[in-house]
Amino acid sequence: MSDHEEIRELLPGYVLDALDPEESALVQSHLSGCAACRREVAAFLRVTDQLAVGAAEALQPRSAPRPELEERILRAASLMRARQSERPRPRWAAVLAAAAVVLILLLGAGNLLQWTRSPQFAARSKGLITVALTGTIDHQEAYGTIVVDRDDNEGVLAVRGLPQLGPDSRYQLWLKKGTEIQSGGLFRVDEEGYGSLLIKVPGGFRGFRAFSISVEPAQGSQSPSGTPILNGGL
Amino acid sequence: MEKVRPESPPAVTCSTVPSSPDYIRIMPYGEPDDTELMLRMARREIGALRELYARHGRLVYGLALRIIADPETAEEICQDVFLRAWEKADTYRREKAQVRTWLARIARNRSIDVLRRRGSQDSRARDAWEELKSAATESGVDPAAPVETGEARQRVLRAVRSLPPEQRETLSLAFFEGWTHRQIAEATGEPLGTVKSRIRAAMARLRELLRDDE
Repeated sequence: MSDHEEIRELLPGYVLDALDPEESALVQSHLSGCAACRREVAAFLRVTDQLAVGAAEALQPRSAPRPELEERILRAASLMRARQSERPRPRWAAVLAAAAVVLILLLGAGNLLQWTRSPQFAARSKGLITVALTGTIDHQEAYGTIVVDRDDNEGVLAVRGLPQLGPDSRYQLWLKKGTEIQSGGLFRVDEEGYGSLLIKVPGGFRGFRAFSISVEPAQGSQSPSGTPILNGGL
Repeated sequence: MEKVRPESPPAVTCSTVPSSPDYIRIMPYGEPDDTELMLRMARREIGALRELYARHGRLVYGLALRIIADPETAEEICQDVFLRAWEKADTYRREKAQVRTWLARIARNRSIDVLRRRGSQDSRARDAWEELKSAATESGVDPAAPVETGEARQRVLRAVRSLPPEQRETLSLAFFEGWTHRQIAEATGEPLGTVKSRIRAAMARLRELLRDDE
């Protein structure tokens, strides 16, 4: 049997994704240079398409998703549309956030706090919000500042006064909107207890009103597993 | 080399006037067909996505649920499918595949991916087509679906039921459970070559029987 014939016999399995990885790679390599086999694949794809539709239609009346699924889909699509339709702008807020990171690295969190009170900051602060974080009862010496662009998805966190963690742990930032909790990222602190984080939140910061920091495993957690050590809110 | 599943953009066919005596779906004057909805989605009209979901959401969800057997995950897959349609709407072009078919294809592929990732493939139904036959008999017709899809569904189920039982069962394990030839051979105790030839024969037979639908 020729190579071509051997490949041809694998095509139905290929379309069903039932081949071993090596066989699948062989077929893909062959298809790039064989129009006849590509037509065969297209024909078998039509079969699996009809099987999928036939099976789905036979099952349809017995099952229905929850009504809120539609809302989730439309909301996600709206977010995607909003992101795509953003006009290019100087992104001065992002530039400012980047500048804030530089300042944080140079000056530390305390000076960032002072800087946000400066006239220069006020002149450019349209859409920017700052959140002060304070330590809980066991971490009263710790404090922090968050600067975010409410209409963007980037922000900056700086903290001071936190103890260094072992290699298996990280500090994790949490953002809270109603009952929804989202991670803002992981960070560590240096020997002086100072740390910073560039925060990125898909979908933007709008609506988030409470922020906290907890100690989590090094790879992070889906939700806070420990008691918050820093809290703040709008 | 990474496996690539062909997921070409949906083809467009114009809606035909229903002619079956089974039931009639009256399309209000001016209601867009799926082609028009894809074009509107490419223009980022949320209303078009809402309508597309209204027409095909249960189909996509039902197929995902059959494969995954977990309602929450099936909803996530359904969401993935429609957001993909939204994302890819601007690459739409006319080819030989309807939007409904394209959505079902993505749903099946995503569901199999999840099943494999979870390692939760099993032989819940060695012949899932029998289960579908019961479901199709009990359910009657879905008034939300165009009449020609009811006929197409029956034709597909008839074609599958015409296969010899061993071909039908082997195909069911590959199609609904995402099993490879090798996994099917190990689970059933059949030689690998036998499994491959059954899949080949089943697909070739179905291709012949369903050719007029192309």
